[in-house]
Amino acid sequence: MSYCVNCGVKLAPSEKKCPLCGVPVVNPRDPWVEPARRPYPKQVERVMHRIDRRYGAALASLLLLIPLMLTVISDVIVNRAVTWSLYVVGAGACLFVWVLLPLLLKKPSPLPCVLGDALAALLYLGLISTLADSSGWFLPLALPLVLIAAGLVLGISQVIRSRKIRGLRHVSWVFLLLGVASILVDGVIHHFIAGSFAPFWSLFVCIPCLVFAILFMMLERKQKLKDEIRRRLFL
Amino acid sequence: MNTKQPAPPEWFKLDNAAKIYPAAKSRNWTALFRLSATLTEPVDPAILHEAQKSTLKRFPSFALKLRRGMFWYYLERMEGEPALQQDVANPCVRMDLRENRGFMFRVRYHENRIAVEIFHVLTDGTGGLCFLKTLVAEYLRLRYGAAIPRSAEILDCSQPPRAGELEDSFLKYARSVSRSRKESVAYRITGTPEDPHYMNITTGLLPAQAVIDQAKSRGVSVNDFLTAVLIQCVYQMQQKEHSRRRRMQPVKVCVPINLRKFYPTHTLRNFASYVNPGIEPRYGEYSFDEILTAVRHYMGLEATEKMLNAKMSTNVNTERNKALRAAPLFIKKPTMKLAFLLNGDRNASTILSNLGYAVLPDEMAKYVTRLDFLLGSLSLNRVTCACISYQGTMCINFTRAIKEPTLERLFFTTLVQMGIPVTIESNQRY
Repeated sequence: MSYCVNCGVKLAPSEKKCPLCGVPVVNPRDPWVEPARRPYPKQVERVMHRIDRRYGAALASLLLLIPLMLTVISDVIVNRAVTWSLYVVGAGACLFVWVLLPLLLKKPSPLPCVLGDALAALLYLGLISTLADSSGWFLPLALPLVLIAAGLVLGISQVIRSRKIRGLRHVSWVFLLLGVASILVDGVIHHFIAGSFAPFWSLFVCIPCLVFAILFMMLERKQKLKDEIRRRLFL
Repeated sequence: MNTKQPAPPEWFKLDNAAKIYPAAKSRNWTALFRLSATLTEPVDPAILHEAQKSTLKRFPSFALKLRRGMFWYYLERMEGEPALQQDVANPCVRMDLRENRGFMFRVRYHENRIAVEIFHVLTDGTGGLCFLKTLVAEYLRLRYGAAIPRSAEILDCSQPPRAGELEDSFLKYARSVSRSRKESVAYRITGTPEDPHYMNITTGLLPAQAVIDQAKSRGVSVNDFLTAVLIQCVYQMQQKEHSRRRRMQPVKVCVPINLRKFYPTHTLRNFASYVNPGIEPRYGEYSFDEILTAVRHYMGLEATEKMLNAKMSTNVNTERNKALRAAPLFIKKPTMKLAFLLNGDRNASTILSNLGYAVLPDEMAKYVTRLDFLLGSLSLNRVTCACISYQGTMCINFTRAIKEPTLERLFFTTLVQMGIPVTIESNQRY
């Protein structure tokens, strides 16, 4: 066992230099070698910093209030009433619900988030139709389109999260849902314009989606073909 | 006679001392301490896992998760146990409760050593030592079939936990009279910050009898002696400061006091208070003997049942304050954090926590060669000191979150100059 000539302390065999003064251990009769046993392992625990999204979202929400309030104040000063600023406030509220609210939730899950987003969109569109005095498009057009979009997003998220659906079948289902959604959208728009549910352009979307869905379904069954594609196309 | 003990409750309130820690905790700091036992042979993780399982059943106050209520934090009982971890070069740095399955302690092993790191919400050093001894006893029983006699310090895992072990003794023994918490702000040790989330550990091993002899020759206890040496070292560092204001600040050392000495309690939760003995450099230059006298008399006045009770009653009466109890947690938490920053570490330059002389039964002692105790760095004070003695060797662990080992060097060289041989080891990286 060596001594530190500077401090006068004995140094354990694990010490290559004195921990108190940094002087290297120099003992010609007993040169230092890495001991088999160290008092502490070499591995250092690395602490990964998580970004506190809730704090960031809360801060962003407060910051969002600033332009909204400034907008309302400007509107009141200029027009002596709240007029156009409601559009901005509505958009800000939508932004909050779509982007910031899921970050504020402890455990965000798709269903309440998508339903909340759909409700926010409907309320904003309703606000626009009320302010613009043109409510003829809200019920027959805006409402069903928003519900179709919400349904599509929910459907896709369920497919992705599902443990029963494996591999490329996820992609198949997504294409199927897109095809169905395009038909519904086409039908709603056609019904609004012409009064009948007669999808037309959506066939040009739906048929390729159907083909892709079947293709990926078949591909999922062929393990050798999948491996071959993976071998040739890996990144 | 085997009286049936009631099952431990599903949830607990935090004890009085623990209430501050969840509020004071931050992303980069958790109040942790560590106890470890070095065995004669390498640790078997599989057996250690089984030992942890049975020990945790006996210590329901450890199998708890911190939950947030409307008005206070509370602890909820959990099933299972945390995963064993390999030890690291920077222990006691941080504990992410989400990663540890919500458990507020972890068991680590490295070669011959079993270590337990504990968040102060659960217990204090005495409770932690009881847990470690019981864990090691269970390990030795499973590994070697050792028949280790059980006692109040090494609990019998085949027996159910006693209700007295889970009580908040602060509430039970506090009285109505408080005293002022006001203290002067102490000199703070500064230095070059160490790499984030790394802590330097310097361990000094010295013959316990030599320290006892030195203390006896000066007519003080071992704790008073070590406290005085530490104050002197901080004082020497302080007098090299450029700033006159900093040179004149009080030099104080926080010394935790185990309240179990004064009251008949079996609690395994927090039950400790603290005193801050020190010196005032404004009054002149201090010699070591003067520092020793100041410490001895301070401890004689302050480390008494009456004064410590008044101190803990202040905190208990604050907890019982109706206005404070009615305040929701989102208001309480930043207020408590502010109170902690104003009153916590600022009143001491460093901390010296001494667990005293640990004794193990012979059946256990033949397998255990060493015990260690170390503290994580405090939120403001960058250097801490912890001490435990076992089998004639006193083990003093300094932990610091700065690069300069000035305090440790002064401390250990002072002891060497007094004729106490010191062996040093560390976790320094090469």
